[in-house]
Amino acid sequence: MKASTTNLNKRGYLYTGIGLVTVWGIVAIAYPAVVLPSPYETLLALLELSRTAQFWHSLGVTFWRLTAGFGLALVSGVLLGSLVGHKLVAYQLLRPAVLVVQAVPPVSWMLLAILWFGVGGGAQIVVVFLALFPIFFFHIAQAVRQLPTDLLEMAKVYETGWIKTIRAIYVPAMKPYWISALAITVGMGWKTIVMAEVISGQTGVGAVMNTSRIYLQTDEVMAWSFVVACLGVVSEAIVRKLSGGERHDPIR
Amino acid sequence: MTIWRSVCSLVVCMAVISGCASNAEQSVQQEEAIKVTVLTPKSPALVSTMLASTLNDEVVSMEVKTWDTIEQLLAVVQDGEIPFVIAPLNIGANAYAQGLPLQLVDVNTWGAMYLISLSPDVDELADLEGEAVYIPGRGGPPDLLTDYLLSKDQISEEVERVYAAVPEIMQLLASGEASHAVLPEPVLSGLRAQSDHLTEVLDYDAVWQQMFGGSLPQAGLFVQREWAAQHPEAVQAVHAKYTEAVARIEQDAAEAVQLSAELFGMPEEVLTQAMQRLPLQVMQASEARAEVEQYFSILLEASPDSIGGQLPDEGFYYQFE
Repeated sequence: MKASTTNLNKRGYLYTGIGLVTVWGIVAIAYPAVVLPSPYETLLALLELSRTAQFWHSLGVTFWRLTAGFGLALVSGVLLGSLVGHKLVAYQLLRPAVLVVQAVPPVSWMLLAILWFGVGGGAQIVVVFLALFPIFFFHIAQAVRQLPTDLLEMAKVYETGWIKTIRAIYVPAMKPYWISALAITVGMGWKTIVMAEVISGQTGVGAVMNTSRIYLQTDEVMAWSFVVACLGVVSEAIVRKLSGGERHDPIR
Repeated sequence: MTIWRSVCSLVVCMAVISGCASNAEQSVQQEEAIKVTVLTPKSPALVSTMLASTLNDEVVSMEVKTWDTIEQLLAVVQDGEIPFVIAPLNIGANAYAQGLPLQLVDVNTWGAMYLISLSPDVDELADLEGEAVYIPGRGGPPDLLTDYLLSKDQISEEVERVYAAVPEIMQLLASGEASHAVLPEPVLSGLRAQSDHLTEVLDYDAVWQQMFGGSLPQAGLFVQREWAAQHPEAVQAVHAKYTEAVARIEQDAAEAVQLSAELFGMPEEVLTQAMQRLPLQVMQASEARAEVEQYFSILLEASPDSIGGQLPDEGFYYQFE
C-alpha cells in the first residue's frame, strides 16, 4: 500500500513536470528568446554554461558564502535559542530584538550591509546570517521549552549519564524542531545568497546572473535560476533524508 | 414650475450640445496629431526629452515615461505599445541582435562619463596603481571602456576594479569607504556639489576625441521598426523636436532643467551644472554610424556578448527619407 502511494506520488511529480515544461514550451513560441527562452534554449544555455570554468567557480564561491552564513546562523541560533529556552526572562528580552531582525526585508539588510561592510566585505554572508538566524533561534527556543521536564527530572534522580540523557530524551524531543529549522533554512539560504549577490556581488552565481541580465542573455538567467532552484530542493531533500523526516504533505 | 423646468432643460441641452461640439473639435485634432510616447531612462537624454515633449506641432504630440531596469525596457519593446525608447547603444544593439525590432533613429547622448577621485593624492591615471576603482555594473560600457583605457596605459593589472550600483557607489564615496569611481553625469555633479576635493582623472569623452577625433556615443533614440515604417512623418517630427530642444538648451538650459530636475531627484542648480558638462548633439543614426561602429568595435573586442556578438547590420540604423 505504502509502495503504491509513493509510486503514484513519483508519477505525479513526473506528470506535473512534463505538463509544466509543455506549457512553458508553448508559451515560449509566442515570445522572442530574450523575453522568454524556450525549455530547449534554456537547456542549451545550461549545457553551454556547465562547460565553462566560471560556472563551477561561481557555484563554489556562492556555496562557500552560503555555508559560512548558514554555519554562523546555526551556531549562534542554537546557542542563544538554548539559552532563552531555559531562561524565560532572557526569552522575553531577546524575542522582540530577533523579531525586528526577522521583520526587516533581506533586501534592506543587503543595502545596509554594503554600506557597513563594503562591497567586498562579506555583506552577502551577513545577509544570509540575518535571514536564517531567527529561524534557528525560535525553533530551538521552542524545542527547549517543550522538553519533557518530568523525564529530565527522572533522569537526574536515577543519575543517568549525560550522554544517555541526551540520546534518550533531548534528541527525540527536539528532533521535529531541528528538522523543520534545517529544512526551512537550507532552501531559504540558497535564495537569499543569490539575491544578495545579484544586488552586489563581485563574484558568485548572483553576480554572473547579473551580467547575463545586462547582456540580455535571458536563457542564461533562466538556466541559473533552474540550477539554484534544484540546489535548494536537493539540499532540503538531503537534510530531510539525513535527519529522517518526510516533507509534511497536509493532504495525506 | 413648468417655466423652471423648461429653463432647466434648456440649460442642460445647451451644456450637452456645447460639450459635444468641443468633443468633436478635439477628436478632429487628435486625428491630425499622432500621440506618441517616449520611454527614457533617467539619464542625460531625459532633459532634452522633457523639453522636446513640450514643443507643439501638428504631426505628433509627445508623452514621456521613464524606465529604470532593463527588464522594464524589454517588456515595453516586446509589448509594442510604445513606439520610441531611449536606451544605451549597446543595449539597443544587443536587443536588435536578439531579434527585437528596434532601429536607431539618432544618437543623443555623448560622453558624460568620468573617472573621478576624492583623494588629494590622485591627479592622473598612474596614481591609481594599487587602488580600488568603483565601477557601476560589471561588463557594462563603464567597465569595458575603463578596462580599455587602463590597458592603453598598461596599468590594467595594477588597478583593482570593484563593482556596485551607482546609488551604492555614491554612498560608499560619501562614507569614505571608496575614494575613486567611474560615474556618469548628472549623478557626478551631485557628488561634486558635496565634496570639497574632487579630481577628474579621466574625461572619457575628451580621451575619445583625442583617440578617434569624435565624441563618445553613449545612448540614442530607438523606434519600433514596423511602427516607423507606417509613420515615417512621425519619426521625422520626433527627431526634429529633439534637434530643436537641444538647440534651445544650448542657448538656455533653464527651462529644460526646470522640467526634469524633479524626475532626477536633484536640485535645479546641480542639474544646470551637469548640463554644462554634457556634450549636446543629436545626430541621425545614418550619419553617426561610423562613430557608433567605432564604439561598438571596442565593446565587441572587450566582450562580444555586450552587444550581442556582432556589429549590427545596416537594418539597425533608421534611414530618413
